Amino acid sequence: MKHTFRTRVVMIAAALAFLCSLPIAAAGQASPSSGDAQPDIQKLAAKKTPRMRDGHPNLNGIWYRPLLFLGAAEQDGNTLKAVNRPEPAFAAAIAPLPPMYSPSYKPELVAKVKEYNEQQVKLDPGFFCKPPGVPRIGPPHQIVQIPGQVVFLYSDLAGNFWRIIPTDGRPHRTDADPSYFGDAIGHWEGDTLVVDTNNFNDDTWLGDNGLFHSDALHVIERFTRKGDTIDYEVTVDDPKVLTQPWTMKPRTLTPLTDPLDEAPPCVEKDAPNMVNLSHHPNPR
Amino acid sequence: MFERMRIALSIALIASAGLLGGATPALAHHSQAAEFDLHNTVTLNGVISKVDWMNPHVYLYLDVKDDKGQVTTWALESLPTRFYHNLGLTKAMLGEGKPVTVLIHPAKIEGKPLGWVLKLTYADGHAYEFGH
Repeated sequence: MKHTFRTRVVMIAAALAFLCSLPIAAAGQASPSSGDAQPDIQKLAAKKTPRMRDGHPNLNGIWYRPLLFLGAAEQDGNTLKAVNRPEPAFAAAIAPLPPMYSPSYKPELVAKVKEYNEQQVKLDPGFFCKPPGVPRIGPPHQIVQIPGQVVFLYSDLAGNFWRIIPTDGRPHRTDADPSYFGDAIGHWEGDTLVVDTNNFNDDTWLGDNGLFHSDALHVIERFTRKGDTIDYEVTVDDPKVLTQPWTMKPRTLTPLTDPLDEAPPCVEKDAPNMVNLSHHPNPR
Repeated sequence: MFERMRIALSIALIASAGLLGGATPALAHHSQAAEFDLHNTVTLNGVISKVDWMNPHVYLYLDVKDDKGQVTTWALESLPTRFYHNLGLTKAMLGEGKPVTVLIHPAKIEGKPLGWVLKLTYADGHAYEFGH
């Protein structure tokens, strides 16, 4: 618990500094808590994988994916201070991804992505608190696994969201309107839960920076529990806009003991006060 | 300090440029520089009349009285609620109704009673510092 809390504080403090686009003074001189910024994934993964009665891995739990910021918080007398934990790890964390982890748009759409990127604070549906959809919302924050279905719960910056994934072998629905989180069905491939989602609307982006998609979006998420971790892998296809399926950089989820809190409403108030289009990524 | 700031800004710009591809699916957002003067700070003394506990940013409303007793309500933008949560801070701890001294970056729109919260200092001396 202590480790988890410290890890989260550390991550948040650095993200904080990043949000402010300011290094926090004396970060190098301060002596914030110096524990590992990331959970010991190898150690957690080496534990015995818990299983359900049906033999499938048990995915139940509240899950945390380490974000890529390092930092720390400290109590300085009467003042609770957020301090940055620089530097190479921080710089590396927000460095551009190698091409292998970037979606490949059709040549005729590259200019559109660039334009959307530049105008993202005006055009990004996420900026205006619309549901982020899949895969942008990231892995679920809590998983509830019962016979025949798995439920994903999200307490997100944009609000509270849920997805119900039948795992009883039924096909995709054909009677539903396209939606932000689409229509999901799941099946097991060995110890991996495979979630196949289609029937999305086109009112979300795949991520920051103009990464729009069409209503042909098709997302495959793979959840592989290993000990006390879940490997989360996502492949995104959209034949109308991409030249090939996009495989996102995989992530490993680790367990949290904190309860999942209700997200407060998301109300965008900044737009009228902005004097330019500058922006930054805001990882979930 | 300014050199470090430039480095941080450069990193932010690099990170926002081109097709990042979403190592971590992300919500694009404005930078503080789009809205606030990061080179200046202002200290306000007032009473927190309201806390809007919302995303993507918490807002504090601060009633500030001038020499003539005229009250101006400042809108003070702060972090997302999740950040507060992870720092162990709640809406209640921000203290609606309490007098407070707030260090802010002022809005770029001149004369607008709007700021970005850097530090909150309460009457008993305890404080929360988010930048600087």
